[in-house]
Amino acid sequence: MHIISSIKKIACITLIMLMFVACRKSEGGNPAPTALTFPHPAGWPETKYNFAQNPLTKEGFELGRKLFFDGRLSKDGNFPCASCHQPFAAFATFDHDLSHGFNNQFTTRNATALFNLAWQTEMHHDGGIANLDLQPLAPITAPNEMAETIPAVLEKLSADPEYTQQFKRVFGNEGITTATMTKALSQYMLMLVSASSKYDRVKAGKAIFNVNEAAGYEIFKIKKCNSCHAEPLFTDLSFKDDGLPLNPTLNDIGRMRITGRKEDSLKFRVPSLRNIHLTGPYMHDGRFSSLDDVYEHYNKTNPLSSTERELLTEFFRSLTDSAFVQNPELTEPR
Amino acid sequence: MKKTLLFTLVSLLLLVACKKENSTEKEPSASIEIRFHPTFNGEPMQLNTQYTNSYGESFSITTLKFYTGQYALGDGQSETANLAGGEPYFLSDYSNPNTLSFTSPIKPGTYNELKFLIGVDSARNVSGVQSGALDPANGMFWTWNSGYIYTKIEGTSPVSNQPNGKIEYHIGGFQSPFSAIRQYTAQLTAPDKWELGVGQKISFDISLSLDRFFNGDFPLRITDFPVCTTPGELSANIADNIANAFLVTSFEIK
Repeated sequence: MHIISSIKKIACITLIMLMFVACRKSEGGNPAPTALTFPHPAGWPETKYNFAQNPLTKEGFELGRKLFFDGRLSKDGNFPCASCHQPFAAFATFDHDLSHGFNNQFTTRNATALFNLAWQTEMHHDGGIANLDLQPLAPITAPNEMAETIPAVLEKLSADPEYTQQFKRVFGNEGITTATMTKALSQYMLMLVSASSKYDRVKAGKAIFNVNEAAGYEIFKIKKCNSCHAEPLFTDLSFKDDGLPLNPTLNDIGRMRITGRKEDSLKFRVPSLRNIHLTGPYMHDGRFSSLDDVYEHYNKTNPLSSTERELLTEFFRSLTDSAFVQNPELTEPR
Repeated sequence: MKKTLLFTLVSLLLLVACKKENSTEKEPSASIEIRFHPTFNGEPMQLNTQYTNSYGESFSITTLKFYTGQYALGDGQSETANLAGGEPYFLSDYSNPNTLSFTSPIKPGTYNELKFLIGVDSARNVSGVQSGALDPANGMFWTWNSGYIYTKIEGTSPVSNQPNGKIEYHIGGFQSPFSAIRQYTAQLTAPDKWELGVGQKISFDISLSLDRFFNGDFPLRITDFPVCTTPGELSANIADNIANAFLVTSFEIK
């Protein structure tokens, strides 16, 4: 009697436990992915990315990281995202004016540095991409960049059992789709937060500027560089025509290409000055190879003495975020 | 024994907790069928066949794809019934006949109009990567300037000045003032109201007249405009022609 009721109890308990397991979303014996907290720097503005639509997980980030460095996202296998967005160059292309891609072709623009993307609502120099998740589709399908098609990339990823397993772990039964692939890439790119430069340590009261950096910072403010390059992002993310003449071989009209509005002719996004010592050449088409060339261009509107230039350059050095560009968790997975 | 009962009850409660919350809405028990018929001058249009538009320009079409969505039946006042569940958008591709018609559940009622969007609402153009019919992998998406291509018409014409005589119309855009999203509304007059009863299906035949694509309020001469592949004024003008090329030719309730 006792034994029988015990058996019944055990059976019931087992049943309940089984139900709990059945309740869990993850299938195939996979544990659910581990939530990952976005490292929001203290005192920074609200982020713009919709995290609710794509909750960060450790496994999602790792999957995105793997995709970012995987040449299979390109037609000939030679052009992973990281080919133009190199970690050591603050995820821009080191020492290249125009990026190049498939079949020895140049693009018409300088690869943008990738960091602090959670605060950005429009991607590209011209703001043509309305959402970070949509961003990877542009380089993947551009014939002069990665030159691939979305279905072909998904096919290549689906043929790899490791990817199949990773996608299942992160996205359950959604599988390998355009949406899950781009969400994974977003998870990685969102974690590219650059907020640990010397400037940031000074702001947090953990370091002090040397004399030159401090003087450069004052010049930066007095000369109103911050009217476009607003702290803490060092960009107000707006689109501005800063007087660069049209390059007749590229014919890049900038923001107007997207909006069709005359007033947007030759407007390009104000880039961040963070990591500026790593992200040259400068401007949307990399036409200036040094900071001096840039100061020279602004001389018409905002003249600077040679001393001021040197001090500014010193201050900009404090915006180099070595911890970010050398972070082993952000580089190519082994 | 009592304990066993308790366990069973707890288990049942768990089962209930496990169930996904169902909406309390009553399931619609009627259905709507949409059937598209691409035509040229009233005759069924064929791909890869020479036609001549009203300006005397000859051409042939190799590709015809278009998005429609947000289907609703209305009574001309406030009442509308949207498609129940499933996909809000459909991608029709003339080279795949299966995509030219679809059936979906809808609420029974008394109606006198059919409404749908030609294109994709602006929110879905910019809020991340969509799936299903709206998956960018379907090739109806501009990657460099985020947004859907609502209608894609490609082919050739001897009067085109493009390489290989190509004609290429990728019509889209959602930014004002050049939004190419168009609402199509068919007011049905005979009879002026119809009853869609429980268990019944209402079927609409809708023609898409390619002659009107060229010969609309905006005169689309191939000589002048062999190509339109960006959102903007031209795209919006051509979208007007496309909106006027759709026509409900008949409907029946069974």
